[in-house]
Amino acid sequence: MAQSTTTGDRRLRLAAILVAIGLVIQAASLLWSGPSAFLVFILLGALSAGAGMILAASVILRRTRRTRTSA
Amino acid sequence: MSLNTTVSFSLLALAMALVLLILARPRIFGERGGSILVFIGLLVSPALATYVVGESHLERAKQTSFCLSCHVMSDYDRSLHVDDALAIPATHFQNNRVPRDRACYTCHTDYTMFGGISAKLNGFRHLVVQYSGQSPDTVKLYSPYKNRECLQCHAGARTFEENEVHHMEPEQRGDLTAERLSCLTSGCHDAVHDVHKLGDKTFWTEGK
Repeated sequence: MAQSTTTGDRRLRLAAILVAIGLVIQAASLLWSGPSAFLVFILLGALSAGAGMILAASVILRRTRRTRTSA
Repeated sequence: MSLNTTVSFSLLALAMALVLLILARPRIFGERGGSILVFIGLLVSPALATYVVGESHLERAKQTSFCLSCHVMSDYDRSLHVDDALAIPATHFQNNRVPRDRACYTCHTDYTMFGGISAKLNGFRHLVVQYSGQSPDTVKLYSPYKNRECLQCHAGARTFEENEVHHMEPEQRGDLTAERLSCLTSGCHDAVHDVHKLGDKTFWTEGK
C-alpha cells in the first residue's frame, strides 16, 4: 500500500510536470503571432499538457478504484 | 494585448498555480478534498486554459497577416494590391468591402482552419507542408469556390439584386443560389488572384 502510494505520488508528480511544461509552452506561444506559434501550441504545448492530463486521470481513477475496493 | 490574450494568460497563470501546488505536495491527494483539488488542478483548469489559448490562436489565424506570412503566399499579397477594377480580390481589399485585417478569412470562410473537420485537417497540413519545405509552386483550392462566399455579402444588396444581368435568364438568380451557376467561372467575374499574370500589372499603394 505504501509502495503503491509512493508510485502514485511519482506518477502524479510526473503528470504535474508534463502539464506545467505544456502550460509554459502554451504561454510562450502567445508571445508571437504566426503559423509557427500555432504549431508550437499544438505540437508541444497541447500535447504535453494533454499527456499530463491523461496520466493524472489514470492516477485519479486508480486511486478511486483502490479506495472503493478497500472500502 | 487583446482581451482574448489577457484571458488566456490569466487562465494559464491560474492553472499553473494549481499545478505547482500539486507538484510541491503530491500527498495532498490523500487529504480531505485533495482529490477534488487534483481533479481541478490537473484536469479541469489545464483543459480550460488549453481550450482558451487554442481559441486565441484561431482568432489570430483569421488575420490577413497570418495567411500572408508564409512565403508561398507572397504573390497573393501582391494580387490584393493590383491596380485593376475588374480584379475581384483587389477591389474588395482596396475599397474595404472586406475588412483588410481579415480579408482572406472573410472570403475563404470554409478554408483551412475555419471550415469543417476536414478543412481544419487540411489547414494543419498546410502548416506542416510549409515548415517541411514542400510548398507547391501553384496553390489551389480543394474544391471550386462557392457562390455562398460571394452571396453572404452580395445577396440582398441593391446593386446586386437590381442588376439586370443577374436576372437575364428566368432561373438565373436561383441558379446562383443553388451553386448551379458559378459567379467566378461562368465568364462574368473570373478575374481573381491570377498570381501568374502579375508581371505586367501596376500596383496600388495605400496612402498614395
